[in-house]
Parts: sequence; C-alpha cells; structure tokens
Amino acid sequence: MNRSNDTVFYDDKIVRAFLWATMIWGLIGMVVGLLIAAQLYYPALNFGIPILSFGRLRALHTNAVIFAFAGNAIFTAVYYSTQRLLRTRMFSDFMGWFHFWGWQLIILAAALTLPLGFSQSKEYAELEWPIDIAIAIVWVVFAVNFIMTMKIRRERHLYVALWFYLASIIAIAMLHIVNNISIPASWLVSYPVYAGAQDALVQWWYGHNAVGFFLTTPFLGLMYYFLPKAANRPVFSYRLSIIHFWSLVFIYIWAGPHHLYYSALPEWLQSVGMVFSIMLWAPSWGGMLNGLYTLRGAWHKVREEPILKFFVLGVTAYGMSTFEGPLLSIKAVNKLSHFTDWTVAHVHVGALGWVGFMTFGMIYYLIPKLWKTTLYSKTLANAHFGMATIGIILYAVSMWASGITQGLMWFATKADGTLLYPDFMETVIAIKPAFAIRAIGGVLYIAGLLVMFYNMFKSIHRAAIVEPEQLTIARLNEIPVESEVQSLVSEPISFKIFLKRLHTAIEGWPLVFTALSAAALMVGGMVQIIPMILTEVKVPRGVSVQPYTPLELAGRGIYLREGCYNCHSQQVRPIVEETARYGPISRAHEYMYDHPFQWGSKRTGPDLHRVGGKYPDLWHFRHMQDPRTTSPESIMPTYGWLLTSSLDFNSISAQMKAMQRVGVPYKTSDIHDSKEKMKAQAVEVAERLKEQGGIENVADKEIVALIAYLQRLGREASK
Amino acid sequence: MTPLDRDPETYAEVRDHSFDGIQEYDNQLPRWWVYKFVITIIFAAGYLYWFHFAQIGKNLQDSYDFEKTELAEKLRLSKPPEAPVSKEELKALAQDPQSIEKGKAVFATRCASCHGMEGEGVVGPNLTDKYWIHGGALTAIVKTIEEGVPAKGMVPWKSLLSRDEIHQVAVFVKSLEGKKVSNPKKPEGELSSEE
Ligand code: HEC
Ligand code: HEC
Repeated sequence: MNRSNDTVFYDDKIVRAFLWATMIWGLIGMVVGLLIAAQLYYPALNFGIPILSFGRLRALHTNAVIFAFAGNAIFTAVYYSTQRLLRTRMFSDFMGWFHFWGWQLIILAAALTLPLGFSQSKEYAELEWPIDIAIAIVWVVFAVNFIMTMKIRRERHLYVALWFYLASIIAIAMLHIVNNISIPASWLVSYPVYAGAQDALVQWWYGHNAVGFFLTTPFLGLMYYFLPKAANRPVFSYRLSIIHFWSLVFIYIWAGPHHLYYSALPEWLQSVGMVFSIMLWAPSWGGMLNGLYTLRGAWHKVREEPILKFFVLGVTAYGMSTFEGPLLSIKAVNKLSHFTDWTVAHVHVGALGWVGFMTFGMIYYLIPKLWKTTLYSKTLANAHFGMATIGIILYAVSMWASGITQGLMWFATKADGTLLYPDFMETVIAIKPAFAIRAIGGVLYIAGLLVMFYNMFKSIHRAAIVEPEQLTIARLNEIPVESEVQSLVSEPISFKIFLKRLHTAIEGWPLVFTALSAAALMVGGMVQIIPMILTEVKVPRGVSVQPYTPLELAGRGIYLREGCYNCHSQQVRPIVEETARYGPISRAHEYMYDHPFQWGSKRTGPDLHRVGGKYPDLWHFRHMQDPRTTSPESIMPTYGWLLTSSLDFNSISAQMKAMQRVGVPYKTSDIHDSKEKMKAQAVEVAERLKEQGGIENVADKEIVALIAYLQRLGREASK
Repeated sequence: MTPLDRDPETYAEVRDHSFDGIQEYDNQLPRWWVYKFVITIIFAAGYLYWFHFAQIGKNLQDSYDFEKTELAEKLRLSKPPEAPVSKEELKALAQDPQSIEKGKAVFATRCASCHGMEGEGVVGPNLTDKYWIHGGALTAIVKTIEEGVPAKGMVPWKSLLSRDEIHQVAVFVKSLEGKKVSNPKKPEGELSSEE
C-alpha cells in the first residue's frame, strides 16, 4: 500500500469570520434581551413604538441568541476543529462561504421581519416561510460540506466531537423541516398544517430539541475538542463517550411533551415525555463527567488560566441545568414551575452559563491561534469571567425567587378554599423587584462581553499578518471493509470488547455512523407524532366547534403579530386553583381550528383562554390603549397603534383560503363574502364601543378585530 | 500533549491513538452514574405501568375531580350555609366608618378599573348618581356584587372576595350615592330612593 503525503492548508479565514459574527450578534442579541428585561420593570421603555414592543422583541432576542450567537459559535467550533480532527481542509470553500453569508443574511432578515411583526408565532420558529426555506437550503449546504469533508479525511476514525456535530446537523434539519411545514397566505403570512394539540406536540418536539441539538450537542462537541486541548489532558473515558452519546441522542428526542403537562395533549404522551426527561439525567451528566474528570490532575491550571475557568463553569452550569431539567419535568414540580420565571431561570443557566461560557472559553483559546498572537490581557479575561459569573448568579437567583414566589401565590388559598390572591396583578407586583435584579445581572454579563471585545481588539491589533499554515499530512490508506470485519471476529473476545471494537470500526465508516445516528434520532419523534396526526380530535356530542369569523381571524392575526403569546397562555389546566381563577378546563376540541396553537409557555399576564365575555368591549379598548388605566401597575405594553392603524379588509379572503387548505372547514361562499361579513361585524363592535363609552370612528381600525377575537376566546366551553 | 499513558488515579490505559493531539483514557463508567441511569430506567417502566398499562394511578381528570369534591366537602364542613345578610345588618355596617374605609380599599383595587377611582363610571356605570340598573337598596347592591352581570361585563365577585369584603364594598358604594364628582358618566337605570 502506498502512503503518500499531501500539502494541506487549513482554512482559518472562515473560522475568523464566524468568530466575529458570534461576537457581534451575541452583543446585539443580549442587548435586545436586556431591553425587554428592563421593559418588564418599566413598560414605558418601549416608547410606544411598535417595533420595540415586548411581544415582538422577545422573539428577536430568542432567535438572535440561539441562531445568531450560539449558531455562529457552533460554526466557529465546527470549522476550526473538524479540519484538524479530520486532518484536511473543509471540502469546499465555496460552500463554506455560502454557508457563512447565507446564515448572516438569514439573521439580518430575522432582525428586520420579527420587529415588524411577521411571525409564525411558534417559539423559536417564528421566522416566516421564505426565511425558513433559506435556512433549510443553507443548512443542507453546510451538511453536505461537512459530510464531504469526512469523505476526504486523512484520519481514519471520527473523534467524539464529530459524532456530536454530526448528530446535531441531522437533528436540526429534521426538526426544522417538520415543524415548519405550512401553507402561505401571502409572502409573509402562513399557517402551519397542524392545529391545536397536534401543533403543540410538533412545536415542542421542535422547541425542546432545538435546545437539545442546537444548544447542547454541538457544545458538547465543542467541549470534547477545546477542553482537552486547553487543559492538555487526555479525555477521561472513551467508553463513557460512547454510552452517553448514544443514550443522549436517542432519549433527548422523546422529552418534548414535558412542555405540555396538564394540557389537552393526550395523557400518555405527557407521561412518555416525563419518563424520558428523567432518563435524560444520566446521559447528560455523562458529558459533564467526561468534561470535569478530564481536568483531574490539572486543577492548578484552572486557577491560572481564564480559558479553563470559563470551561469549568460552563460545564458546571451544564450539570446544573441538566439536573434542574429532569426535576422540572416531574409533573408535580412542573405544576408549580410551569408558566413562571423558574423556566426562565432554567434556560438562562444553560444559555448564559453553558453556551455562553463555553463560547467565551473557545474564543479566548482561538484568538492567539487564529491571529498568531498572544492574548492582550489575562487580567481582563479574568475580569470578564468575574463579571459574567456575578451576572449569571443575579439572573438565576432572582428568577428562581420570582418563579417560585409567583407559582406559590397562584396556588395559595384561604381556609375556605377561595384564592388568596385572586387578583393576578398582586402576584406581578410581588415579583417586580426580581425583574430589576435580573436586569442588573444582564448589565454585568454584557459589560463582561464588552471587556472581551476590547481585549480581542487589542490582541488582534498587535498581531502579525496571518499566513495560512502549511502542513504535510499523510494520505489515508484504504483498508477493505472485510478485513476490518474479520479483525472483529478473528479472536475469541468478550461481548463488551466486541461492542467496543465494533464501535471503533463504525467510527471509521462515516456513512454508517450517519445512518445510525439518524435512526436513533427518528424513533422518538415518529412514535409520538405519527399517532397524534392519525387520530382525529374528539368533539363531545352536541358540541359543534365553529371556525373563527373573518373579523375574529383578522384579530387573531393581530394577536400573532404582536406576540401576545410571549406573555399570555391560552390553556386552563385541570387544577382546582386554576379553574377557580380562570374558568373551565381547556379541552382539545376547542383548539381544533387553531393554526397555529397559542397555548403559550409563560404567564407574565393572566391566562386568556376564558377571557371572552369576561369584560365589556370598552374595557378591552381602554386596556389596549393603556393597560395602566384599567389595571394600575400593570406591566403589559401599551398598544396605542391598534386604535389608529387601519384594519386590512383585503387580505382576509386569501387568509381564509390558506386556512381552508390546512383543513379549516370554511365554505367557498364564506370566503366569497368574507369582506362584507368582516365589515358588518366590525361595525357591530364599533357600535357597542360607542354605546358603552362614546368611542367614535373605529369600525375600520385594528382594535375592533382584536376585541372580536378576545371576546370569542374560550366560548366553546359554555356550550 | 504530554504523554500521560496511564490515568494518574485509576491507572486506566490511554488509547493508542490521538486526534489532533487529543488522547483518551478508557476509564470504567463511574458506578454511581450507572446506578443512577438504571434507576431512572426502572422508574420510567414502573411509572408507565402504574399509570397507563395497569391504570392504578389516577389520571389527570380523575385527580382533578377528586380534588374538587374534596374541596367542596371541606367547604361544606367548614361553613354551614349562611343566611343571606339582612337589611339591618347592612344598615348597621353603613354607620361604621371603619367598614366603609375597608370597602374603599377593596373598591380602589378591584372596582375602580371599571367604575372609576371616584365611582364616576367608566366601563361600568356611574355609582355616584341616584340611578340604579339593578336597584339601589343595600341588599340589592350586595346581590349585584355577589352575582355580577356577566353578560354585561360586571364580574361575579362571590368567589373572588370574602363575604365581609363584599359587604364592606357594598356599603362603600352606597356611601358614594349623591357624591359630586368631576367627570360623571351619564345616569343609567332608574331613580331609586331605597336604602
Ligand atoms: C409584557 C407582557 C405582556 C404582553 C406582551 C401582553 N400582555 Fe396582556 N397582560 C399582561 C399583564 C401583566 C396583564 C395583567 C394586568 C392587566 O390587566 O393589564 C395582562 C392582562 C391582559 C388582559 C386581561 C386579562 C384578564 O383576565 O384580566 C388581556 C385581555 C390582555 N392582557 C390581552 C393582551 C393582548 C391581546 C396582548 C397582545 C396584543 C397582550 N395582552 C400582550 C402582560 C402582557
Ligand atoms: C370589568 C369591569 C367591572 C368591574 C371590575 C366591576 N364592575 Fe361593577 N359593573 C360593571 C358593569 C359593566 C356594570 C353594568 C351592568 C349592567 O349594565 O347590567 C356594573 C354594575 C355594577 C353595579 C350595579 C350598578 C347599577 O346601576 O345597578 C354595582 C353596584 C357594581 N357594578 C359594583 C361593583 C363593585 C363593588 C365592583 C368591585 C368589587 C365592581 N362593580 C367591579 C363592570 C365592572
């Protein structure tokens, strides 16, 4: 067999580009987060401007930190470490740059459309369909580039970091596509094909696993490369890598329904979601152990080296949030924690601690390598570490306190069984101080990031011009599959050793590895989603659920556009304290025409599923104009523009047609005279407003549609 | 990478291969970790068996119904049905400045959003004039507050406020009658001189 050598140049230019993008988008995403955090304390901080209002910016914040900050961080790690682990340049420079610019344009499109209110209104999947298609294309190009790089590799076996990258790439493609299947009504409006409980299941299968395969597995890959590199220590256990990798990718996918306890989702799905979430504890901790145990014998280095400090705290935060996750997945705990800031604390320990710190550690590691320089100041890096750590602590502790306090207040009853705090606002006022402390935590975290920017500028400033590194690497010689298989069975060995050898062999067959991980990833989703799609919603006898009228549908469109679901749920759970507060339990059939579902995940304001008929129209009018007039101290944003902007009567027929195509039983005649019907109902609402409070000239304003929708909510229950 | 061919603590061997200089030990899985994993798996099987296959555990609806009846029972035992409040009791309360003061506090947090801070009327009717839709007698006011007018957007307060709070806010409302306010809503209902 001939072994010849190749001259190889690693492509670090693209790594530098992704690294810059990580830093810049990270800053932007976090500043938006800080702004909306501050708005929860001072609602006036949106200045009454639609594009700055909480419901719209919250989507921008989550999308920016997940897809822009974490996304670019992942690509930085993948492009840097894959080349080195496979000892080859990436397969195609063109695909790499297509990926880079495609992704940045997508983020730019998100930054424009989300504040303007173009939103699918499904959490972390808010981007409208043309952008979704762009994401799919860019992602596939990335995947092809990655897989082809494996093909041209000069290292026989895939290192564990690559397993995690690979699983992430497959999983995200699958989740993104399945969750975003929708029918467009226009260029920037579309409806998912799933409705109600079905849509909820698919969405949280996606939502939970976006956390899993965007914020967890790629960062485990990152950890497996950069942590042993920085510590200069061998990884603790290969065996543990194998076991925790496969158990993690297999089990993760099943856990989505833990976002939907006590809901109208079939109960078996809720239970399956719960037990898999609990089984996820050990596989997750496997990653933490492999990270922390790798540092045994190197703890003295941790004290000196800011890179390792970031990694240690990052991995510890991972351990904490993957313990808290299964804890919050216990139904009885979730009953209290769900809809509160406890969930917010949980994700931010993961996001700020794990994702953030692993990224910062990686960047401090990469700056000297990518720019052939030394870090300008270790002291500043340590200062960054300190500020960010205190920031996380303030954030997490305040939100834990807030979540638990509010949860307990919602459930508190007097001796006679009535609610102790029937007024929702009482429970909001109690947690306002926590909102202030959280914002201070955010300021510290961002200040730390700015220090990092400064340190980075200074380091690069004194760097020499970077020449691509030239390496001479031996080509891989072919080993026929048969001989590898033969070596597995040539001598009598124990089953355990056989499995391990088999696994090592599979690490040398990237396509087999890809196929196996795809299979492991698909089982959970299929078992949960297929039965749900095949069963019809059961409608109780004597009930007929009516689709929304044209005006209500238009109002719902406004509800989606403004992102009301970011603060309001539409889901009354079967819990006595909850039905006492809101009204009858929400049932699956009530949502059967809801494309998309709007159950929500956070109750910054009260549940709205039974708000229909609770107040007169005029109350809603005044409340939307300025919530403080009807509810002193409310932290809901003002929506003054709904009173002045004209209602769009022209696109309703296109929207109803799209709804018809996703299965809502509108008759063609309904669609035909939808505009007239919509106008007539708008006039009715406007007349009531006039009668109740002398409000004039609003029959063609958006507010009447929103009121019609709100007054319609939950009316099915009374039938 | 420094050659550390054996783990310093467990003496596990390092694998004979490195990736871009990264080596791996092949340490045993930590036992406690394995036990933990196994226990969660057993729990999962047990849970699904208990609640779904064998259906021994109560499902959500049943436990809700159970809690609900339990609560109703507790209520019945703790509070024998009370006789409706009498006119005389309310009149006595209406003479008590402390009760009126307490009623005012309830009004400010619960009622002002619809009836205005001074009772002048916003979404709900003006409570400072002598016109009443549902009657101006104290007992009638109590009844309106308790049962509400859901169709018109007046909340039934019975389950949200205690009996005492309802009586207090009722006498406060009655005390507003005839008060001069800056921006009154036009009268609704009929003139009433009942007490
Ligand atoms: C920042 C979070 C936030 C956003 C965004 C938000 N709300 Fe609210 N909402 C609240 C809070 C807090 C309350 C309780 C206090 C009050 O009545 O204003 C509330 C109360 C309400 C109520 C009264 C519910 C009841 O039973 O008393 C309605 C109706 C409502 N909101 C509708 C909306 C609509 C429609 C939107 C979107 C256009 C929206 N909200 C957006 C926070 C929010
Ligand atoms: C959501 C708005 C709202 C709130 C909050 C509210 N009300 Fe009302 N209230 C109304 C409306 C609307 C009516 C008129 C009902 C009708 O037209 O039949 C009304 C009617 C009344 C009436 C009868 C007036 C008459 O002319 O007969 C009384 C008394 C009253 N409310 C007291 C209260 C008290 C006391 C509270 C606080 C505990 C309260 N309301 C809270 C909306 C509200």
